[in-house]
Amino acid sequence: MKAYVLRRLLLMIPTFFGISLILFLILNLAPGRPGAQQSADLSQSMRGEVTAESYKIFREQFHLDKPVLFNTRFTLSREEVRALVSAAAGIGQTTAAERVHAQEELEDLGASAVPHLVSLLDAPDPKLRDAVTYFLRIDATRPLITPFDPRPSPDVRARNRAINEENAELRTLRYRTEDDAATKRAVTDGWKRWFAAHRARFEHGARDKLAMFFFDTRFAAYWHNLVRLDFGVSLTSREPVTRTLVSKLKYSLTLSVGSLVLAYLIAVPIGVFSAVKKGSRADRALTLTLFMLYSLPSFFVATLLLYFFSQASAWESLRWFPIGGWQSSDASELTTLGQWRDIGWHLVLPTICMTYGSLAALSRYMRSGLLEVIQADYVRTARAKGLSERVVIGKHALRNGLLPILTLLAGLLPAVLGGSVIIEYIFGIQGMGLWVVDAINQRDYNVILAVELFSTVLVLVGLLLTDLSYALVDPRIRYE
Amino acid sequence: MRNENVVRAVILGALGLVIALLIVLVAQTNHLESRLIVQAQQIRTLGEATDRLAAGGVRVVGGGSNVPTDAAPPGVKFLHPDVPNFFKPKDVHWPPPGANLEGVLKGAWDTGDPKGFNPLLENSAYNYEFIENYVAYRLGDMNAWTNPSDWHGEIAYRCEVTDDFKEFTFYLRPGAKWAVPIGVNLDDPAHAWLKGDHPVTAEDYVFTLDMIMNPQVESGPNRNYYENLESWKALDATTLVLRWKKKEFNNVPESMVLAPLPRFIYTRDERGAEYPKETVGTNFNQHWYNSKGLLGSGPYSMTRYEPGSKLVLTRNEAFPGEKPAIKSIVYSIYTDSALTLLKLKAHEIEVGELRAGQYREEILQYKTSGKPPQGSPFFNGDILCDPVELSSYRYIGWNADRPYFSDKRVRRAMTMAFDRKRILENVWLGLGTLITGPFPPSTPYYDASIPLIPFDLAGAKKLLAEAGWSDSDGDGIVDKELHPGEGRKPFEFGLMVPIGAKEPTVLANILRDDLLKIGVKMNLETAEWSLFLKRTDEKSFDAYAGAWTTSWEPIELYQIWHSSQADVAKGSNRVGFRNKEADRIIDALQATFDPAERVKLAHEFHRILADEQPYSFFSTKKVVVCHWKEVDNVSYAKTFPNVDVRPWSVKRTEP
Repeated sequence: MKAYVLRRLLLMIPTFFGISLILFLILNLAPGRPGAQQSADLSQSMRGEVTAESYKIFREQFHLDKPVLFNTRFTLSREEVRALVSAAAGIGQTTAAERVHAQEELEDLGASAVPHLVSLLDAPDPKLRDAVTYFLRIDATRPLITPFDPRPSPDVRARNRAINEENAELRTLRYRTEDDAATKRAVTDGWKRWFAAHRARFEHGARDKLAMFFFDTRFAAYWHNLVRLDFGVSLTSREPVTRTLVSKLKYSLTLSVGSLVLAYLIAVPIGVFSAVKKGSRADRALTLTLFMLYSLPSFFVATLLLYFFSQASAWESLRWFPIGGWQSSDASELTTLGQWRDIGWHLVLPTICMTYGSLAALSRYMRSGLLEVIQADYVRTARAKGLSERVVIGKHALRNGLLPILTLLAGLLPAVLGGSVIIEYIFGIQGMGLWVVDAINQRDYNVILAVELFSTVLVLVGLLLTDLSYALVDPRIRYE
Repeated sequence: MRNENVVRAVILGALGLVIALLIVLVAQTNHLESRLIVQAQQIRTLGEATDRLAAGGVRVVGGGSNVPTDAAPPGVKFLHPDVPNFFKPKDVHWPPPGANLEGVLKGAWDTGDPKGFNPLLENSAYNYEFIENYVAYRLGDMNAWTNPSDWHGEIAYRCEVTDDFKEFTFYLRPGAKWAVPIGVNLDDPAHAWLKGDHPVTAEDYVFTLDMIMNPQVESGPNRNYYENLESWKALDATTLVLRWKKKEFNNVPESMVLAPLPRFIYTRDERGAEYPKETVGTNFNQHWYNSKGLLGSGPYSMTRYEPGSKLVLTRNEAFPGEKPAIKSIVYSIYTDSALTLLKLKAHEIEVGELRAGQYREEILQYKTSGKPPQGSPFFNGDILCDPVELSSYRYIGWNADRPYFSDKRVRRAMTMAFDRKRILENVWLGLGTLITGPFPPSTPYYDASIPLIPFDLAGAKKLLAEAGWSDSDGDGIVDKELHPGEGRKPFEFGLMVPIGAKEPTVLANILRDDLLKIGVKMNLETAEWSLFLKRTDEKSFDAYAGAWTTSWEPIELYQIWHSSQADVAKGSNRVGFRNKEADRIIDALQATFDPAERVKLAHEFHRILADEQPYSFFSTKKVVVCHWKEVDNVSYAKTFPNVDVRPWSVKRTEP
């Protein structure tokens, strides 16, 4: 048994790696880009535009400028760079889409494009030359070393100061299109002098190239953080993802655990009743009711409940529950007990919405599980002993009949944390579900990945628990 | 057997006792806690009362404090005493005479938790309208209620504009202090450095500009506006000099609207240690205070933020300028804007915007016919609603780089087939004003004499025929040879609309039916918002339904309409509008400061756009703002943010 558990646990590592790889690829290949502002009414103001420089820092910070899986940028040729620059500068026949792509590509290439850009400084086409100095300014600037280290060593500080100074100097190496030839020549000479002085930085040996090929990529950077359990910061709020995730659990867990417990408390007696009175009119009526409930969409029920039983109800005597949210706005003025009651009060309606739909399935499982048991020999024996029906069902049959729906629990683990988007949206509870949907809309890769990987772990653990619980409740099943 | 029963009884009894004791314990703690809370409330009220007494009992009532002055206060020497003050007198004063100064206003924040509060990194309109607008102490502000072209001083009482509009010298009122930081435990010795008074000085404004201009700070959009700023320096704690590279009209608003950030916080980590100078910029992007709140020095301070629940602004009693009547503004945070109506009716909020559908359900349908339901708060005088015009307009953009729309006759035909009046009235329920150009009709820049192009399908068909589009194969769709030798192509294009944008989708469906009547086939292309932006950036669309937020002065013309911006990657001139004359006017407007001259130029520009029809200009945007009857002195500003509650008051006082 121990060996089995150990084997399963070890197997989780490659599975997890594989899943993370697939998730990472899907995410990074999806169209759209992070950093786009959400706008519900398609209103845009000029302040919403992101400029190249800011956008580059943003991409660098989150490694979005790197290739996804393998880095082959050291094989980049001068001609490829020339083609990109001319496309970005709109030389020849180019569409706007090609221009945008070429520009983004050049901005992402960073240092690997620099030697080629420098060699293009003498290109005959003046328009090309202008574009080359523009992209040099963007690609030659370097990011700081460990910028978030609160107490950097004097050495790092000195190097960062040097980087800042160099960047500032490089930013001055610019000219306007209308400047005269001498000014332009001075600027290009400046770039050449700078490159000659720092040439070593751009030359890589075979070992460097091999390391770059595998490790200078988005995936490697992400995994590098992941093994240290660092999910990074959200691309939109800049908050550490793990911290937000934990804070969101409070909402989603309360809601889903509450509704799960409630569902079991209601479904089990219903299932027992249906099994005992199998085929009776009451059983059929219950089944019909449950399936009708099952088919009612939760957003519809939620709206109805709000309409009839919330503070906004048209009938004053029915204004029982708050309109939504997690707490009253004056909750901080309440005692701890009062706050709990207040939260409970707010959660009544959402919990109802999340519960009623699962009653049908759960009670059916219970019913069929119990029916199977009731026909078993030992139940017949118990009856034959003359035990009352109550003792037969309640003591002998129920325990075994419960097994199937208890093993279901482990499988529900990921759903428990996933939260319900619709219920959270309608009742204004800022749980996991809403957070993830928002992250998807904003292409907040770090948040999406963190949540997905978190639920991957839960699924894997849940599967293991399910298997183990089978063995636990049924001695006939054994894992070697 | 008996023994066992005894043991069981004892165990049960003990358990019962423990539970009973626990209940007593919880009840006692609860009782104690509630007494503590009551005491804390009493202490707070007492403290406020003493504050008021100390402040002299009566607050400064509007007038004196914002009057521009040409005489130097003692100890201050003006650099250019002969230059008249650029500031005009403030137009609207608050608090209104006799208003309740203790009122609490409950508002709605229906877009979920804010992503962060740092105004240089966050571009959210809500953050600007609901927080920054109230907590920032700007150098100057527009006379937004009467003539937004005029500026009055806020923290600066005097502004000298010299050297041909290139140099701006601001003299700051002393005495402003930074608010108390929130979201941190100030009793913790690690946060002791945050305590005490921190005065607002010219250095804070310089620091803010340092951050805007620092290439490590992800504030690109803001940096664009200050690209022409040559130097910014504080001569002393109360004198700030901004120098611009060239004479441009934008220098005026960009110099004025600068809202300062507290230098003492943004240069330090949470424990008060200064960041190494070279990484202040990168740390600014992920600064610990960004998610806690916005520290201001203006008429209000952000005093509480509970994610998912509420955000509170409280009047800053130490504010040296005019203090508004409303004592505190409490925003409920929720995610479904449909709840606004329910919360309004339940009196959970007092101000909120209705959606178009809700406006029809609750108000509009009873205005035209029938009796409103009994007790409807919208008709018994409890809740009052006003349609408020926002500084924003809707349009359909035609991609002139696509062969279909390169001809202005075709674009005009599209506008003629676009039944703007009917769509505005039936789809947007009349919430807007039809327009013919890019300026808000409430500004003098809008030329009201330009006639609206009528809805005229026959005329549209004629224009299409003039442009060479005719149905040669009898399939009901007009066609034309777009490139010589490639054969005739049918007129079929896509109109891009963001997914989930309800009204624009209905607009598209109506337009599709009308276009089909003149032989043009339009396909509705829905795109998710980030994809929508990507496609407009790449100009890979035929046409799209969009909206722009505008400002009072026409300062966005260059980005949206200048030819040079049509070929810039990700530029805002998405429709490929290129017009030499329009370029000349845009440049001239930038260099012209005379109001009458500016109006003349703007009218010329407006006429060119009305003739060229790069967009089918549709309408301005109105929202239905509703408020409970106890909200008093309600007025709306002429420019963004139009709903600004500083002159308002609330009659009822919270217990």
